[in-house]
Amino acid sequence: MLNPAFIPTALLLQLMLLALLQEGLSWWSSLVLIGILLFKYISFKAQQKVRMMTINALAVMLCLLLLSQLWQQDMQDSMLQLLFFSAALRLFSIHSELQHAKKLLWVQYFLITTGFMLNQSLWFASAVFLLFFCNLYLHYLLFAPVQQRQFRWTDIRLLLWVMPLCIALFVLFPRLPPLWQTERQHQAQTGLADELSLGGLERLVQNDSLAFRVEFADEKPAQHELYWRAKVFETFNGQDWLPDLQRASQPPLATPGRYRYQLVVEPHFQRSLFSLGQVSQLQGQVQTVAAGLIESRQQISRRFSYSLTSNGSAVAQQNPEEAKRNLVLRHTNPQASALAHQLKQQHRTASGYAQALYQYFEQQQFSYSLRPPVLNQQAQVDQFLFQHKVGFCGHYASAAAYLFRAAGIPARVVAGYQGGVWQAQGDYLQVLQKDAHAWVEYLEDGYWRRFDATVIVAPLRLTQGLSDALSLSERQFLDQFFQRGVLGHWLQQLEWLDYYWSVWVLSFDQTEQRFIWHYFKTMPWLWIGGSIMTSLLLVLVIYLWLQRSNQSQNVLLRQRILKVLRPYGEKADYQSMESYLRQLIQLYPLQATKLNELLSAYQQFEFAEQLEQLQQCRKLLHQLAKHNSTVG
Amino acid sequence: MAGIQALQQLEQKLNQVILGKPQAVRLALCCLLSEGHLLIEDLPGLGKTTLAHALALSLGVHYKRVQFTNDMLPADLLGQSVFLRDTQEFQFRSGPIFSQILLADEINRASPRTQSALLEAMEEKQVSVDGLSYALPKPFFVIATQNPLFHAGTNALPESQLDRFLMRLALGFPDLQTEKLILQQDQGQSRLEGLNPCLNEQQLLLLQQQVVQIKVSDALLDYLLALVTQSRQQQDCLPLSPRAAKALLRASKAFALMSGRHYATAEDVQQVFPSVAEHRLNPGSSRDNQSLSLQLLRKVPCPL
Repeated sequence: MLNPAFIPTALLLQLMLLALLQEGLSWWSSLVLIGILLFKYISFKAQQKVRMMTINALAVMLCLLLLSQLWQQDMQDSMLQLLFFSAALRLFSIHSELQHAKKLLWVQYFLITTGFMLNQSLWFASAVFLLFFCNLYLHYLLFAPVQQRQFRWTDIRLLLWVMPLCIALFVLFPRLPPLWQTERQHQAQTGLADELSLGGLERLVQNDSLAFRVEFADEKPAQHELYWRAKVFETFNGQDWLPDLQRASQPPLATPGRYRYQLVVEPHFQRSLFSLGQVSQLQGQVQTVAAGLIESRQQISRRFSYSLTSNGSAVAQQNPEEAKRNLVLRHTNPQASALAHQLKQQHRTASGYAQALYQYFEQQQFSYSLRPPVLNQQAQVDQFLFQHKVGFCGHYASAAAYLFRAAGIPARVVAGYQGGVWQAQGDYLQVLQKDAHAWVEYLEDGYWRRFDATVIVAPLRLTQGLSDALSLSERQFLDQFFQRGVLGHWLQQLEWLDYYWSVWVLSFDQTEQRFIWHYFKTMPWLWIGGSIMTSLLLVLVIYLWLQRSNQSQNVLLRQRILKVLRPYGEKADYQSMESYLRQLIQLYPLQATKLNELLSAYQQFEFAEQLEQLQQCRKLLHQLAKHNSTVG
Repeated sequence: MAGIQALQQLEQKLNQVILGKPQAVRLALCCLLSEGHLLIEDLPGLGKTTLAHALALSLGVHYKRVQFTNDMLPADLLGQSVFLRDTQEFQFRSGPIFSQILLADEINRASPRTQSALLEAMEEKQVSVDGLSYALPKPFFVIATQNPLFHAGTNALPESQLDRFLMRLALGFPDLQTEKLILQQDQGQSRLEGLNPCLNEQQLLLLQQQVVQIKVSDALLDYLLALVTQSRQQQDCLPLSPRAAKALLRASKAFALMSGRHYATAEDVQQVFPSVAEHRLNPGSSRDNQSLSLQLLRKVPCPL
């Protein structure tokens, strides 16, 4: 018989689960699930049994629906929906069957943990744990004896008891690589795009979500040095800048770095990662690729952490091919080319030319705007440089790179993020999507030097981050709200907690584990203390066990006597063992000797505490039991 | 275990005198071994006095018999100070209580005043007369007999005084065969005449010491306490006091010694329990009635 509280609790749990997994469910499946749960609730209230036929028909229908949607949505999401449908339908079918309820619970455990495929933040994890405990409670409802089915808060203590074990397992249990991985197909792109058009980055710049977070080990670079390189575009087709397809893997230079930092990247479903200037050392599942960039070995589909060391200088040229590749100009913008030639004649060196360009941008009254006028197809660089003179980083980078190339200086567009907000509590840097930026690198003396025209046009963009799109009053209101208010304070605290959740829990992998073991090994006192503690505990356990067994030996012997002698006759509750055995001796004269011996051995063991008599008792009992079985 | 054989010999001899009552004989001996006072209650002519006499005789200690009557005064029992004209001073003339065994026959015939004088001496093992204390000899015990309460001219012993007796025994009627034997053997002389002491004073004291050393396991104590606790939870009887618990333990130990063991068993406790407990549970009951204590025994599970 099922506990009456089981079905309502399970309904509530599935409803919460529905909210939790919303991200992985399509709108129609959410609707269907709500409908199923609601219907189940009504039929439960009315105490009606749902017919299996209805459920089977519904299941077939839902499967077909899912199959038809399979091509339009992510495989993983489809599977998630399938699992959820099966859980909901299983709940739908349960009336009082214990067996079905058990199956339901196991499916729900699985379903709850699939939530981690969607999100890994601290808050999400807390919700997952909460649901997990709810399911545990459901399990408890199923198996607890009827009198004890009331939920007691003291049971929470049990959870606290197992916590140290959980933590120990988390830290010490070998980390296994994932058994399989899924690539999400139709995931919305949240990071930088694969090409950069003149109007690109606009989408990102208006996005307030988190891109990644950085913690510096010792020295922190100045704000205007924080150019996070993510992508390098080397091919220009007149409108868009495209990455070079040739992506040779390059070993990092083993030079001592100036900045040591750890990054925690939000999932952006690409492989490209972020770094500052020339990378000298790297740690984690990352590799270097062409143009001094860093890439993950897998698509970043969950929070990902890695550590880097950079020396903060310009990126070195890797091969002569690079210079050639970055001179190519297939489409002409006549006015821009003319300007480049003119400036080039005045300034021979590349750095002189760059200075001239800075001056040019400063003098020509370019302005910065997130809503620049739309450009025509033809000669876009010319239009921007000479006609509108309004744009944002993408425009400036694109135009500057064109001007460099037109003057015969190898140049390329780099996309990434600039700056970030320092979080006071955690001493870490938070980089948001709206910090997305594009700039230019030109080649001089074997190094790629940075050229960022935006600095000239909108210097505040660099030092204070982007808030161009906001009016002054709005900005003041937000500042007040987020930085000085109590709420703002708490929000920052929560951000900080979430950050360390990522750093210490999510990014805890084999490397970290090995590190911890290594750390333990270097501290002999820890080992000595640990082994002393363990042996003390062991001694205590053995002592208690001996005590217990000493005490319970008597009880065990009494139980054994009763069990063996039961076929001879029952012992009354109030009867002493002696009178019981004497009674048996009267009744079974053939066994009298053995019973007499047993009696005397038992009395000596029980009352005179002669422990050696236990063996004798056991022997006699064994013989009596054997006799008993042969006789019948 | 010196003295055990002598003890068993004694028991045997007593059984030759008191025919057909081995259990009562054993319990009576047990009571004496545990330094407790014994009350024998039954109808006249069932052998109470014979048992008391036999015990006193066979123990080989100094004993006196006092027949209690309703006009008896405490001084008749305890003794009194007499003025000696020659020496011009008082001298204490000790009463019959100054003996090692006092046979108090028909104790419930005496006035409450005399009863309480005796009972005080029983508890404190000393007598106070005219402001002076006189210690009673050692060992000292009282074997009292009484007629059932409904008999004419009896004063019931109050509960607190009944409690001073470790055991209350009843002899009951002998079965037919035994009675026949009694009749056959009646040759005009008392059975007590041929009874010689089997123990001396030293042996008795030694045996009493051995009783104290009898081993009692923890589980057995638990059982004993369970019995006592049960009496306190029951509505239909008086609760057993810690003194009663002590008496029960002591008697059980003595019973174990009588069986020649150096450890007490649950059976020992069960055997002595009715005699030790009944008059405390139900002071008004009399004679062979042990219903309350037996009921109580049946209510307490005994795993041992």
